[in-house]
Amino acid sequence: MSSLLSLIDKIVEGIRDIPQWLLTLLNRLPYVELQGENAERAIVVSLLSAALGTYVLLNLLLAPWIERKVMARMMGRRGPVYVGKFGLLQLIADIVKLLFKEDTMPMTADRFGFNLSIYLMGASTIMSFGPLPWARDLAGTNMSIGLLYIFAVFSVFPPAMLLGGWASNSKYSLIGGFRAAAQLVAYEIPMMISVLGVIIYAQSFNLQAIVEDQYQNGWYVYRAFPGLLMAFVIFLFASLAETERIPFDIPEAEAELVMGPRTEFSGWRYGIILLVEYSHMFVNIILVVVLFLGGWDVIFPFKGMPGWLADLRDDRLAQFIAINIKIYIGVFFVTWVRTTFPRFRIDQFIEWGWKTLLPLSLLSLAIVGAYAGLYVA
Amino acid sequence: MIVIIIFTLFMAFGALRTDKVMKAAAYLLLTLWGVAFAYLFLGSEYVFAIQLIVYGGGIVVLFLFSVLLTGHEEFQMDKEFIWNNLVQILIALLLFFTLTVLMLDVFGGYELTGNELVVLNETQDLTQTLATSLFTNYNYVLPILGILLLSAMLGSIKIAIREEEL
Repeated sequence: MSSLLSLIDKIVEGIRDIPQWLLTLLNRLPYVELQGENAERAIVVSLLSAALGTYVLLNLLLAPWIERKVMARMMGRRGPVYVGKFGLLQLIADIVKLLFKEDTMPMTADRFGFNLSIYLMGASTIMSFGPLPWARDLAGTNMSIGLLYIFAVFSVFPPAMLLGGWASNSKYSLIGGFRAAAQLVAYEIPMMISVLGVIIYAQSFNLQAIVEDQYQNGWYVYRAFPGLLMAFVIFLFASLAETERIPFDIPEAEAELVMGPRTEFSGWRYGIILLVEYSHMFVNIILVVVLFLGGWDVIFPFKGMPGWLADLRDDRLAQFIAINIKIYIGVFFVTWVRTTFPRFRIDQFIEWGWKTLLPLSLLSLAIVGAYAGLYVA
Repeated sequence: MIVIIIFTLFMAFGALRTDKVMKAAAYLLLTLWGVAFAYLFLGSEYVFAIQLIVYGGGIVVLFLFSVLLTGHEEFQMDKEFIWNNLVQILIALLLFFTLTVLMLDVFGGYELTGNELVVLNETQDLTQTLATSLFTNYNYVLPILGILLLSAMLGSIKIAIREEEL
């Protein structure tokens, strides 16, 4: 035990020198003069963000593997087994294959729109990871508009889909693009309105502040009793619809539309679309966890909590592990839904979004407003 | 900042000069993104997010839908320099000049320095300040605007329902 602790101490001491070393290295470059505590702090911050980003991307690689494995078990298959231990490296093999494929573009496609839609989707997905909280004081950026920022970045998807569908110059893509845009627009609005209840309680768009409020006063799922529970269900449903996963994958219904707006994309473009799809799902799961299920909070606060549990709740490593466990439960849930339900029909689905979910989300907002009026003067 | 301005201007120019309506809408999307990032670098994150949600998302989707759902012929741009173009350019320049003069008149006292590029970490309370001022200083404006928008929404729903019946 003591030898392990001394080893950790040595590692920490080694790490502590890295920023200083990088600083001297950078200062050797021409025209670079970095000095003082701020420069060192900037280097530490950028190193830590790089580490966090790498961690998130590695998780993005793990999530599809878990999904394939769970799905295979549910269907009575074995899933990926050959590449790596338990088929863990299957996704990396897929990515390498996609990267080395020939880059093809349909002859009649519109070059500008074809490329632009891919770039927009890829860039906006990566951007959306910024403000997500991973533990107390651990987040990419601590934005005052975190939640709004994520929605803003996601709102680029419908035009990008529509543009990509039009630019590929194929009827499947065009119909798929229409469906995608209609579905995204129809479900974005109930999603945003159901979140307003959370905003009323937290009095902030900042995701860290939202989690902190849940840490102090209890998770949002069970507060304002029917109101926020309704909002939770609506948000979960709408976020599944937004990610266009199987029960709601109407835009790319493969029996009718080959692959919807993405039919003509191949090679690395298809790789990017795969990444976009999975990270969209991942961000939405994290949003559900952060907004309604306590984020990095280990367990919901209750009276007569034993001391060790209270200590555990304050421990940042425990918080980090807790949010990861919650996220993977979310991934499992999404996979479960995917293997269980058949696909909806487009007109029913969109009608349902506008005529059922929207009034319900307004109702939940009204209930939350009534509750909040009792507490907040 | 200068990079963003140049990018926005180029995209606006592209939106004017393309011969396909869809392409013009794509350029418009990029222009609006450029404007949004200009807001961000001027230190107003909230306006940045709203600009992206409303214009970058909603308005452009509306444009694309209406372009695709209504029949349109691809028109050829006049490549020759004609008399009409000169008048248009003159009017545009005049409008630009008027706007610049007005802006300078109103905001002339302020100067943008490098210090106003806000690091996202340090503007913790900006949005909260905005919200507080909206609900205290402008307390009477918000409900009126809300009622106006609500009536517009109800009107559009009425129109949509009537069309369905016919």
